[in-house]
Amino acid sequence: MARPDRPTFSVLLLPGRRLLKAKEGENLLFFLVSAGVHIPSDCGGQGICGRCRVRFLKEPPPPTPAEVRAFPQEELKAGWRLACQHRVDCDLELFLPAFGGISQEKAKVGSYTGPLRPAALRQIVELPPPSREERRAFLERFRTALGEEVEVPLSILKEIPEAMRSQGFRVSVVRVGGKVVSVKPGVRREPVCGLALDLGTSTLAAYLLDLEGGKELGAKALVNPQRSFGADVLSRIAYVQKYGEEGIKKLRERVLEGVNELVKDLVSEARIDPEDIVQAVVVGNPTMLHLFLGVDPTPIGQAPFIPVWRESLSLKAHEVGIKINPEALVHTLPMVSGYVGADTVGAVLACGLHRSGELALLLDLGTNGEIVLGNEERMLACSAAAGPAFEGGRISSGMPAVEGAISHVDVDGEVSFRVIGGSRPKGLCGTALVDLVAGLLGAGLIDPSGRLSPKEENPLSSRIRGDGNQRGFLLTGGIELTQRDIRELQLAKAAIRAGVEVLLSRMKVSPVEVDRVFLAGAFGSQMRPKSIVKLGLLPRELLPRIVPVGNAAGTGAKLALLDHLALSEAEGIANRITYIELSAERLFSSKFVEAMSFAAERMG
Amino acid sequence: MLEKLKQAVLEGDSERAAQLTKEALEKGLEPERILNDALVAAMEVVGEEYERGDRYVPEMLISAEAMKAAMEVLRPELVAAGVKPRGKVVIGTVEGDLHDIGKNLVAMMLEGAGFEVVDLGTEVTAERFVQAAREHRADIVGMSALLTTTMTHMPEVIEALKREGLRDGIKVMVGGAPVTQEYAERIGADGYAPDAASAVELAKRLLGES
Ligand code: B12
Ligand code: FES
Repeated sequence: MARPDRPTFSVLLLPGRRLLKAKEGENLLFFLVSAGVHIPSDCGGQGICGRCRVRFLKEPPPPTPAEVRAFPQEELKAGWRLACQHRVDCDLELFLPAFGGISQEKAKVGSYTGPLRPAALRQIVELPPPSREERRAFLERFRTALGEEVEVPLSILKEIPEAMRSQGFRVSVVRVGGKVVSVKPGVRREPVCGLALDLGTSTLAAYLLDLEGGKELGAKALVNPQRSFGADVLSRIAYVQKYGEEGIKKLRERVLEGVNELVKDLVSEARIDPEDIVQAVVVGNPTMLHLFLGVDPTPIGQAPFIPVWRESLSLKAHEVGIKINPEALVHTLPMVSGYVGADTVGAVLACGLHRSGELALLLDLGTNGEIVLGNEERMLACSAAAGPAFEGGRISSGMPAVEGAISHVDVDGEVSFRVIGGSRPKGLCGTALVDLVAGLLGAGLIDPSGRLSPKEENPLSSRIRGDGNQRGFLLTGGIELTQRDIRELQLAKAAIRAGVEVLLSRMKVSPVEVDRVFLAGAFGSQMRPKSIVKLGLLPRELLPRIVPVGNAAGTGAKLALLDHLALSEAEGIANRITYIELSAERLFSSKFVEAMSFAAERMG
Repeated sequence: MLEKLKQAVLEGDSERAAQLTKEALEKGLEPERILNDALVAAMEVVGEEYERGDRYVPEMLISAEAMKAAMEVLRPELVAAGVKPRGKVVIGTVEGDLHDIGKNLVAMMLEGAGFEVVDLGTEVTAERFVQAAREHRADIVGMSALLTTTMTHMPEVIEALKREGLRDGIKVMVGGAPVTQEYAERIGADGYAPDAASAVELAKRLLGES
């Protein structure tokens, strides 16, 4: 029953931190849709399709029968619900999932919740035809019609006469900010598209966006073709040290190859012309950005680890070498330091740390773990060199999170696991490693010092075989967790935990004062929060505050395409983040050693 | 008594280790015996347990620290008694590299095995390695590098030692995560060890012991 003066409640949407007001009793799904949030709903709100997934970050309502059907118990507990099943009856904080996600299967069409204010836009202008009275040059008329000072590159200048004459002096102009990117005769209907690129050390991800409608047209990921030059950024820098100019050229060609392949796939699947992509925003770690632009990365390879540039750059597609509209603008987001890059800045942008009063911790976990702690007042960042364990590297049965990898493990009395793609298991990826070690710790088969130690009363002990450093826990045929693997994981998790502890201490706060933990990155966001705290990767107090956010760096790049103000916001973020050099921190080493053990209660 | 001291080191109880060393000296036990039968013996066990995977870095470090605490008490007595160290090692992390946890561990284990160790710290240039090797009349120069991009400084140090005519009298050992046996051979080092326990074995071997 609608009362005339229904109270309103606030609805906070993450990522992006958009704040909405809802009237009491409104259906959540329809409220979100009418507020312009793209949220899938195949069944129109009947609770059948299970697509209108949202996560309640505060006090999730009791699940309805439809939800019990739609979600596994664990997800219900984590606050996942179907939007169509609930009415707004208190202040809400919601996490909307689909906008993001790096893996192919996860790359669904996104739900963007922020304001749509792209720098790229199409204008149809009518120009006065030349006459006795109208004797101004074509370009002058063109500029007057656009009503603004715009920059017109030579290649476009060449198009202008034809474009102006052929369709009765009506032309379609696409510009990105003050730069004209395309001029075509008549009224055109091609989409105005943007490309978001996330250049990761292991994976390249690309997203195609329709900038007029704010829709994601496609997402693709690819193993970084530079992989054959080493798994981490330093091996690639070492390659450049060795081969100089030639090395830079080769590495640049490989990333470009990958990027252009992604573009080709996206364009053909979305059935658009590459020319329709008029803007690109690129994020990535500093080394990847250097190599992508063909700039010598060797200064990042040795102390004091300084990048060649730091601020955001605005370039042209033809000079960068991306095969989209040659005049398209390519923006790289700014960096903070040699090891805290545009990817981290993008992730902060996406999670909105810089705009919130809440104190948030952002972790982007991969070979290098970037950690940011802060809020609108102050932000600190560091890079904790975790090593390759989280990506399955240097682990005896380790492998990346691709088909055939065990992704999750449960240890309770028996051992069960899940395999990506459902096929025969081939190895363990990082998330499974974390689960398995957490499980065995819980079962007492790994002691707090990290030692694999059989317990007579536990039947699982029979799976522990071998001696010394070679002893291992047999998970399933041919896949083992060895003592050495556990040691590798101890190093990786200790580096991250110690980095977190240093930031907390620099900020002079205790873990309970952290309101939110954003876990970003392909690995980070797939990890089970329970396993994370069991391992001691994060302080236990933070468990209920963990929010996985997918590929937040990529989301940041998308935001910068959809909202031109986000681009300048990114610059502000990079300037405001204080970089903490861990090698200069005494506390780091002691915390690192302390955090290697699994006796989490000793930490603090 | 010595057994108790050994136990204190194994358990990583620094206070007790220092206290027991004092007591042992007061009782008139020979400094050299305290060193060998308690401290070195304890660190040998630590090394073995590490190799077997039963101990890891934190457990190794607390024992090393307890050993150090005992050494503080013992060292003046050893010097007074004219006990010679097993050998002199100059160790450091190479130029451009600040990783020192592993290097520190190696240094402590070497001390625990009765070597005298001069730790040059991190970001040590070739010049400083050479200078310290000469000044301290080192038997061994140990270099640590944790980065693919900095281990390339190791051959430079070896070159510099050669240039200064010091190479023949000095053994060079290298280590750190990206370093391998093969790399050590290629750059002409005398030895490589994958961890602190085997670094001790290596040092002994290089000096013709063990
Ligand atoms: C801790 C750590 C840090 C700390 C270092 C703190 C400190 N005071 O040492 C901090 C956070 C500061 C740091 C910074 C960086 N790190 Co770091 N770091 C690590 C980490 C997690 C562990 C290293 C460690 O301490 N291991 C424990 C010790 C006990 O083992 P160890 O060092 O290998 O030593 C043993 C043996 O090697 C041997 N040994 C060692 N030295 C010697 C010497 C001799 C003579 C002998 C015989 C034997 C020997 O014995 C030791 C004991 O058993 C590794 C990742 C990993 N999982 O290994 C990355 C790692 C080494 N770091 C890496 C990187 C890239 C960096 C940075 C450049 C970038 C960054 N992300 O910040 C900076 C640069 C810092 C600098 N200026 O040098 C990379 C190197 C990659 C590569 N291919 O080269 C690694 C592998 C992580 C990764 N991303 O892949 N790091
Ligand atoms: S819209 Fe179909 S389940 Fe909610």
